[in-house]
Amino acid sequence: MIHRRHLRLSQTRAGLFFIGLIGTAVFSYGQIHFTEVSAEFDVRGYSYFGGHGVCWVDVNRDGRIDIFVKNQGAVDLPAVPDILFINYGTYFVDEAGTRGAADAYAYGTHGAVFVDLDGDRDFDLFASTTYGGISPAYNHLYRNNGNAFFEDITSSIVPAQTTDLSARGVAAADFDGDGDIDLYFSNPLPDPDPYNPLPSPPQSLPNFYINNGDGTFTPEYRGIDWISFTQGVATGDFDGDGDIDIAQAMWGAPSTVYRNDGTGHFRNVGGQIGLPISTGDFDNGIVWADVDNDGDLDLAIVGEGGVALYRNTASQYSRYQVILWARPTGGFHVSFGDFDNDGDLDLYLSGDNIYENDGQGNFAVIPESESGLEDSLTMEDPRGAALADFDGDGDLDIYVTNKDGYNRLFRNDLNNTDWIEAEIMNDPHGHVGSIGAKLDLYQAGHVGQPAYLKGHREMTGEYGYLGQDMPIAHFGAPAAGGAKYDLRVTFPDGTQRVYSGLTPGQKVQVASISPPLNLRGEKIENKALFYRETLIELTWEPNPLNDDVQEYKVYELDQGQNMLAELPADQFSYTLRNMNRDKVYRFAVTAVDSRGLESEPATITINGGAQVERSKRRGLIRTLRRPR
Amino acid sequence: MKKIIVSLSLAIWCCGLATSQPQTRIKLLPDEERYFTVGLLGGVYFLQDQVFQELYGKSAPFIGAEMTLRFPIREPHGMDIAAGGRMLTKKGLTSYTEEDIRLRLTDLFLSLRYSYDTGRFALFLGPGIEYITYRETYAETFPIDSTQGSQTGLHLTGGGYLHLTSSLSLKGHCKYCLIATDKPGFRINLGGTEWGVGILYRFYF
Repeated sequence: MIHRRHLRLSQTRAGLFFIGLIGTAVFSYGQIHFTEVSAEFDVRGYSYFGGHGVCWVDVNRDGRIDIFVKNQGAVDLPAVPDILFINYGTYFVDEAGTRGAADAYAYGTHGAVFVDLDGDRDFDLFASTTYGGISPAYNHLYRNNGNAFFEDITSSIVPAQTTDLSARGVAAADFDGDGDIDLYFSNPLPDPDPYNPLPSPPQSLPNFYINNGDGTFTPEYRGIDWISFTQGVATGDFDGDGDIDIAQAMWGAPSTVYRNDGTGHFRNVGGQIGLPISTGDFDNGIVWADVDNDGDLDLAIVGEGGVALYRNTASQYSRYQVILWARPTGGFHVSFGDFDNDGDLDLYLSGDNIYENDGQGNFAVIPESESGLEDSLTMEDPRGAALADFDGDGDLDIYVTNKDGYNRLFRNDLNNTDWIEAEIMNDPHGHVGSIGAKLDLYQAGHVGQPAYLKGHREMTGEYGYLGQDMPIAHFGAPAAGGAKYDLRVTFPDGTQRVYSGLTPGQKVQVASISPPLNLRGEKIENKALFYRETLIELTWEPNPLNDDVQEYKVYELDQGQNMLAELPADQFSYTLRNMNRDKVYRFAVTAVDSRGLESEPATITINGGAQVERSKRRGLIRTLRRPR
Repeated sequence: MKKIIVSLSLAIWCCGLATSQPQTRIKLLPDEERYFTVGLLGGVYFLQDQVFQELYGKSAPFIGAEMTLRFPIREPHGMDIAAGGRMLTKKGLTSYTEEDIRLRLTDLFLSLRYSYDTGRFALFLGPGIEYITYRETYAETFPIDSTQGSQTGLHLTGGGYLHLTSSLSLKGHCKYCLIATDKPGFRINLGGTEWGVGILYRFYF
């Protein structure tokens, strides 16, 4: 009996396996299909209230993308602190409380962005606060200590806040081009009347935190007047002049673009570049993305009634398509991602469907019956969403927040190798993620030739309505015909790196300065007659991507990081004396450029026990004897 | 032709030996060779330890001194009691870093030897004990300054004296030492073969 049951079980498993195989084969053939897996991964959040926005971010730098959910609270409901789901591969655990990232202001969080504020290669958190009748409602900055434990450092780096704030969207970038990260937040005042369709008289309020370069920030007004209740904020270089511009979605006043003059001062240019100058719409989200692969940022504005798509032609926008939204709750957010890895950006409308790009930036809906997104359309009040390859299979998955119910995680079932991902480990100012960096993927051998551009991405913080994608650029890169690609990365300061001959199916680690290559280490016995010393000899090779190495630093990684040596750029070995033969050692070697920027470490573990017996003289003798 | 000449020469020499008269024994020493000698020695010590050979070379020269007390039993047979010492120093290089190292071995020995003394020359053979102190010093860059210690062992020695006068002899000897130490935490074979010569002055009593 038991035997039969086992047989039946194994038959069932075999059947499921083959169905899975067939399913994988079908979905691998470029067809967009998702499976809702929020319960499987335990990332649903609160059932009754809260979900407003989401950030995909690798807070603990373990290579797995974590989820930060921004929750709005309500006075008459249980508290809904923000959630930090740490990704453990096959499951997530909410550790916001223990890690100090819950930001539990009673009325909750709207805008929040993860950005490397202090250039220490981890993601810090800027969480804005939305005033809900409970004072004080202040913004907060949390420093990541490197292990994804956060410390509220607001009071030490920002002057005392005295005004309640009603921030929705926030932005982070080096707006003034001085090499450090500045911050922007919307609605720098309490209790604006969001439902007043008439724009307010302009108010010049300090809605920037300008980084002083020493880790502190000064609130400043930089030309963006508060004229109307603002929802989503996006950043990007829409005019290609090398600085970061800002776009805002607003209620009552038309959503617009603010052009940066290069010094971090902004001017509203919406009317000049073809955006509507007068609407009574209630826009919630705004997104920049290059939907037609021509190297500039097109624009999508999400309003109550749908998504308006604007094509960028020589920094002028023209509306060319509208995707209507028929649900009673307003449309809030769109995300652009190449969900089918075919080389162009598709569109996901939060709480709605996927719209497939025809390659020219025109979008056509994929019915939920095909895409598997039925659950997206049943969400009670969908809000912000964001994209990430959370399972590392090379396709983009979607997390969608839901104000009045559980959030959703849609796993992309594509699983092919037609992709290239690029993660910026450090830019010339040491920032991981490098908001503002531009990544252009070309057909191999044609870098800089517009006709061969296969994708243009700009690293960004929050966009749309409170969404932040993973800090890794994802490109669909068809592998057919043995195609290869070159990736050009332009850092915010204009310096560039080119990674050539990339084959699809790989993740590139981009760095302004890259770690040394082929770090090796071995234990060697150095003998005197009455004393046997164990040496550890580390050797490495210079990384050809680096053209400005000043020195190498050697560290021992043993409950922390202990620097052992700073070596000149032409030295590629280091010997440690009198080590313990039986101990396991971990070492790291970094390259440092002339500005003091240090690469990611190349690391090595040297096990205990084994060591090499080597004699330079005996080796020499052998070498000399052989010719005889 | 050469072969024939050589063969004939050998044949004549052998016939000469066979027909020669017994020679009077030339004796330089008294009939009862009961004497005490002191002498100076020098020679080469070939350590067996492979690491030694790697670091310092296959051999090391030494100098030493020796005292011998001979007790005749039934001449030409007798017994020797010999005591002495030797010291060797050698410079070398560590195996991998090639830093300077310096070894000093100081050796005291006591031997009990059978002695066959014809008055013109003498042969001896016998066992003994060794006491070696060692000190290895290292370059400043080396993790430690020096290592030192001591160890006892055994030896077997043999050789001969050629009496030049009634008071002066030349000595040649070979000594095989068995001595090893584990004190540093690993085994070092300090044993080996010593080849030496010396000159001795003899006192009779």
